[in-house]
Amino acid sequence: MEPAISADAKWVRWRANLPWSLAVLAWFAVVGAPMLVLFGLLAQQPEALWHAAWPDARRLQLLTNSIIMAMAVATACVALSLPAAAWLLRRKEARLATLIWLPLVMVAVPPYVHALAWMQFWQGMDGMLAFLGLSLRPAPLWLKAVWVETAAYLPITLAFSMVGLANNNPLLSDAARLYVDEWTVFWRIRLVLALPTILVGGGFVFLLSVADFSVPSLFQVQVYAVEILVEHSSGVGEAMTFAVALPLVAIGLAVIPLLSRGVAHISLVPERFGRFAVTDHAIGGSFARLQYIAAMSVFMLIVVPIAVLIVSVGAPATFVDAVVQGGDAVLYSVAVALGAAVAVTMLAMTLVRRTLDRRWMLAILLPFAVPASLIGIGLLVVWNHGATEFVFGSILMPVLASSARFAPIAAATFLVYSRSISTDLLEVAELLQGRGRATWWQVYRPLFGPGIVTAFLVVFALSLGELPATLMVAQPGQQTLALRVYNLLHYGASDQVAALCLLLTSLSMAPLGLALLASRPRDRKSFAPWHGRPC
Amino acid sequence: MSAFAIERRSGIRAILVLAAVSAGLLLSSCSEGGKPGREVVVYTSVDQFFSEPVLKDFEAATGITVRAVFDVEAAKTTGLANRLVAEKARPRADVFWNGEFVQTVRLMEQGVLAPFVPDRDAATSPAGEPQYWTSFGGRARVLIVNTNRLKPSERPAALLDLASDKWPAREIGIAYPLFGTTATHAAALYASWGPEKARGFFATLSRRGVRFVDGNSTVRDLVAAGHLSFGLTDSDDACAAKAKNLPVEVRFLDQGEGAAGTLVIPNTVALIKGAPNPEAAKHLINHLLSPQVELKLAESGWFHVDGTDVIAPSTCGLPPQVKAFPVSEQALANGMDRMQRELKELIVR
Repeated sequence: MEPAISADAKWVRWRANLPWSLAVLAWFAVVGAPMLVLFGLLAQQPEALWHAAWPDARRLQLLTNSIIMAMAVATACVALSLPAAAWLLRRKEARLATLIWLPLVMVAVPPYVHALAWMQFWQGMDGMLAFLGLSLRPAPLWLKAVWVETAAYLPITLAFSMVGLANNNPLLSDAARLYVDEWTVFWRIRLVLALPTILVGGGFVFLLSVADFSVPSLFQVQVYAVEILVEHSSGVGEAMTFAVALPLVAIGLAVIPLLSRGVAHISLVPERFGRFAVTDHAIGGSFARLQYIAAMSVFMLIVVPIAVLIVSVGAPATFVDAVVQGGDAVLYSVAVALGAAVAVTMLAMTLVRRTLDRRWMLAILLPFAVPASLIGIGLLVVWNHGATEFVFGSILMPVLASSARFAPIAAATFLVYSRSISTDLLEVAELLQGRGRATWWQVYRPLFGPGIVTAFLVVFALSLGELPATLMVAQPGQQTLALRVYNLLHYGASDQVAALCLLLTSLSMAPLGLALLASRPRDRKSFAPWHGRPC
Repeated sequence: MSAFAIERRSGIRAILVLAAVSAGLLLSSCSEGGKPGREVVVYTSVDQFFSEPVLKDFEAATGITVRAVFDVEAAKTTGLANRLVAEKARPRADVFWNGEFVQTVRLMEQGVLAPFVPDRDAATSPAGEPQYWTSFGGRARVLIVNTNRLKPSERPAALLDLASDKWPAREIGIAYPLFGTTATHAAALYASWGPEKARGFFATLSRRGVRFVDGNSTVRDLVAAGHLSFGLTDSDDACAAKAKNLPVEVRFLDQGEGAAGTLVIPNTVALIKGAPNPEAAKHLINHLLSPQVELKLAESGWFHVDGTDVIAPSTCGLPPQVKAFPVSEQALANGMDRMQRELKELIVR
């Protein structure tokens, strides 16, 4: 029999639970409700479910293509990210500290633009070889598609790889070093400890890749996402479209528990160790070379598209012209991305303490399995009512669209990061110092800071480039930069598209740049808290 | 200190910041709406580059604020049509200005559109028959040819050249005939040639390995960049490349003696049923159908054909007259479902 709880204790507990309950409510309104709407539409049309339940041989083949393609992309991303992250984390130079954020600059650039940039690069290379009287056998188109998608999604696995490696408990590695060589320490201890985190990043890339059709179709790879688009464009209704999308949702449902299991298996670090904990142990030989090659590959994946974009812009005046003409879109996009990043990061922070429970984790990650345009439709159905007039048709709708799409990524980033923070530390700090501002600033901020920064920057950059869900709820008379880029793409204004893509890359780094400018020089390293870790 | 306290600290902060940001955004959005009756909301699948100046002219002439939502090719011109269906119970848009007609016919069939006879058609519209949409202007389906890759004597001129062995299939491009104007073109072939012949044509393209790509602008980009020798696209896409002095030639399909002609796809405009600003919407529709707007859209490179007259800018290098492919818009729209179902089985595999 449970002991009786006094009314006061109940009140205290209720008050303590209030923020979390409100956050759950907010999460449901933003992320959960659109999904429920879609399932509701499906329930009203059982024939749609029947249609989806019997995929023929052709659709199964497309599904297989999608899975193989997405697995290849996720594997390539992880394989490049792991050694590159190890290399980046070992950069001790203060000036290079913030280099770890560099890959994020390309997150907001649409995969289609990556594809065009790489095609231009390959054509240039072919021309140069021909000039030299040489020729190479052309790479298969599917390989090019994998390469381009790897370039587009690499920042995600890189971020997770860096978090995973940086949050290793260095005492475990140090203990192992007494018995085995450095390579074995890396292979058997550090990699094993970091692997669940890295695989979470790989899982996200898999899910993004499996839902993309633009890059595969450009390289003649037939994937299942095209099937969904065909259904969507034929005007059969959202229920039927969702039914056709169910196999991809099912793949998501299969992958997401693995992700949540991955998060649950991330080793808990009893407390955070500073850089003083262990001395740096570099691994020499072939792994060092591999690290270097991977880091250079990552560098190339960023630099080549940017270089092609700069060449495409041509004169600086074109850039200025594109920025001036898109001025309103720039401000609007920044407002939307900022709103989504703040909202989602704060929500993730509030939810995270209890979502270490796997069931909650599953519920939070699940919406990532739903195609983006359908999320937009779900939001439209949820919010297009008289009572929510003040939300619908306002800037809040694009904010909600980005939030609904990327909240699972923010939550996962934060969840992964939180596994490295000991609740003992927080409790001790509150016991000794109370819950005042000083505790928050001196204890919470440094402990949670990197997680907050990572989640914020990733969601901010992704929101800048969001298109399919935003299109369904875009505010009349307003336009995001991504919408403007796609409009110009159709018109063939490659110089202006390139200029706006360069602007997107700059904007994605703007919050970090502003924070660096506003901070004192001695604090600047704190924006790259993982640099200089022994890897 | 318990975890509750920790949650409370971080939670309250989160909620406060969230509320502050939401309030800020809300305040900023409050000032963006216009007065009812003095504004009109238009959803358009016409490229922003072409449609925005026309809408600004309307604003300047009438004082009515136009709030536009533009579609993008990535949504296959169906993003806004699907949004209109989803908003049917509580419409937000007043006018739908479409770059083609199939989605407009679909919206009419789904009860999204309201009947309205614009001033232009007042004298000719049959009495008693509701007119749900109005067509105007036109774009044409064209071949875009890379002039560096093909000499004049080697350049294609007919739709069937896409299936010919004369050119390597890997150097020929076409958008998926399942979306947008390429779907309209495929449905026109179904309606005119019959399903068997049309399906056979696309089967040949697929078997030969002709490159099916993401959209008409992609065909244009691949040809202009020299990745492909030629491809099938829309006149606005092709002429945009020509206007930029890229190494391309734009050719109407099948213009020879006894040839079938090229498909001309008109714009359509319609009033939304339950539109919040119906009077302003009607003003806008009448404005869009005016000769000045047609001229402006022709000069800017959106319209290229008016009947059999070519009204494209001279930079595009098109002949003054065009032979149009004869097909009924309603028959074409009716055959769209079958075409999409069959070609999906054939091409997306």
